Amino acid sequence: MDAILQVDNLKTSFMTSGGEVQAVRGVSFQVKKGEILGIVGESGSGKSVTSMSILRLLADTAKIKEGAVYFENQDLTKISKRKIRAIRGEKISMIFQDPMSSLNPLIPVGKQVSEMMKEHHPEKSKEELKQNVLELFAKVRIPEPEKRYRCYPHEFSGGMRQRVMIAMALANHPELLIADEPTTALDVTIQDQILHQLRELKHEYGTSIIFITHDLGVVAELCDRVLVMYGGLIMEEAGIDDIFAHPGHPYTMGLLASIPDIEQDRSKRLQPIPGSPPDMTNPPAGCPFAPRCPYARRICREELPDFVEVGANHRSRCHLQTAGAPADEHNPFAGGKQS
Amino acid sequence: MSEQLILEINNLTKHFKAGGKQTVHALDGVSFTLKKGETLGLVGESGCGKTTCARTIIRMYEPTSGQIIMDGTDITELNQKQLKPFRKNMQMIFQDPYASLNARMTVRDIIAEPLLAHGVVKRKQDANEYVYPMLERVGLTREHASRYAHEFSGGQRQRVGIARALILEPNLVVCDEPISALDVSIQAQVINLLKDFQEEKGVSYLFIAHDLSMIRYVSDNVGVMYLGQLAEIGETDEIYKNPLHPYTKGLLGSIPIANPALARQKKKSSIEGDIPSPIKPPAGCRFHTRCPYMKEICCEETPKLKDAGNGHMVACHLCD
Repeated sequence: MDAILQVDNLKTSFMTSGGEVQAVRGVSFQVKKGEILGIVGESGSGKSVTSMSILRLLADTAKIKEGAVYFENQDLTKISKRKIRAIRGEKISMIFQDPMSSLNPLIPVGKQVSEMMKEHHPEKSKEELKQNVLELFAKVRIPEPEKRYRCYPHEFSGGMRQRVMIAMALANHPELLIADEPTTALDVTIQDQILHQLRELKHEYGTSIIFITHDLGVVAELCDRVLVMYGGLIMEEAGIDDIFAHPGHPYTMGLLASIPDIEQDRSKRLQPIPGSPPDMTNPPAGCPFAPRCPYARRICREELPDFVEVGANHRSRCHLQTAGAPADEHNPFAGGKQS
Repeated sequence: MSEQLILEINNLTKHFKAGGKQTVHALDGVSFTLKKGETLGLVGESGCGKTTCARTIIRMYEPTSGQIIMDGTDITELNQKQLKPFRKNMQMIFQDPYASLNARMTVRDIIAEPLLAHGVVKRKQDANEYVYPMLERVGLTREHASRYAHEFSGGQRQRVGIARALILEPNLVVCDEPISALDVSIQAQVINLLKDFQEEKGVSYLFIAHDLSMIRYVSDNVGVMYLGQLAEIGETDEIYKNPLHPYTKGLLGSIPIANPALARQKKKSSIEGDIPSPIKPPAGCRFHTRCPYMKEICCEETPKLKDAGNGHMVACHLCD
């Protein structure tokens, strides 16, 4: 399948009083047409900054230092502000974790969605716009769209507000939807409804989705392919079945071992990852996960491992996955290559 | 474990006044018991009353009616002075480790405060012999004692919150979403810590979370709440393997499964719609507006919590 978005060696930093925070340190990936790509990571892993860099929605203190983001034969990091505005909401749209802070509390929701459509389609009449919004509301299952059109954001529940955001994001049938933890603030029941909706979208319109989350359960339910980020880098990239069946990086293994699944034996202790994530003002020279990795060797602390192929469509950034790695009992990948 | 009851609540109700003459029915007649050394998990969507329940139990909120029995004593009517000796035995761990620690106090002072407040030590200097071992116990070091909360990560802050809650070795700790603000890899650290304490000291937990997998992992018994009432309560395995209430079934059906093959097979039994307003809760069974099996009686009569066998209690007309 064709890639609709290609990110090449993206590096984004924040200039703070405490020094340069290297939030994203060289990230490359593709999004294919009609796929749901999951980006998993903890706070500070760089997953949100990556997505904000794509649409250049970063704060003033942030700077894209290097790299390119190719979309429809142009580099989004280089085009003019006017051009990127035309792409935002039209070709690529985004939904965020907290729908309340993304909506204007003083404007009825229906008007907010129609304004956003008008921005990109000034030729449409007022009536036409309203009709389109009502259809969208019905599409994302907002009950009584006609009545809800005139309501203000505070009159909506969290789940309903997120539906308004989705309606707004879909208003212009974007090629790509970036969803940054859209269900984290919602109850599981509402989360389930929203995930169901995103899956329908993909089937109906072939919209590609980048789904950013820390929840591996949500990833398993929704995504086709996953990137695991840590310390501003992609540590592993694999298809959804592959990554759960044969995790190719100690960090991914650690993440999977630290969540109880619904069948978890209760007498068995959870296996947390010791320590905490690195300080990105002064990122470690070697593998960023080395200080917390149970298999770390000296080379891991000194040299950043390459991102290498470890199976079909499966790549990992780990010294223990390289050809010359010693295959002793301290290597979880020894004894038969994965998948 | 012994059969000693640490906590018993009967028909506990908490109504809040809202604007005008409206009443928020946050908690409406909830009863359960908690044994020594056990964990009761409370689950439900936001607005179901689980936090109100926790806060009413430790008398942060004054109950509207009902009874709270702590260690055999009815504490419902006690005034704050009479309550003080009981407070020593009930502590709370909060959701937000950023908001629940005083930014102007050192970690030592935060953890020592309960000791001073309850007269376990008379002078601040004497608290160290309790504070240092506790810090080490929760995975921090002595050097951390003189620092301030803002110098710590979320996981470390929550450890400070746990140290503060456990320093008096209480019988009951109310954990209100203690891990939901933490990263996945840190959550397991905190859960293991809480479990270790329970094994050592026999502390009982009232554990509130919306993460149903985690609730299953930590709890001996689980109560499922909906709009201020218990829909179902019983042994954890029984509730998860054999849920009887349509709400519990829907709730369990909407948990994302961290296994792609299973996730694809999963039969969808998701719940439609949102939780109604607790200002005007629906008549009859409060879940009837979202229930796929709703019958006429469900709109008219409130189902009572009944034993469906082995202490598995459910409030549903369809289970009668």
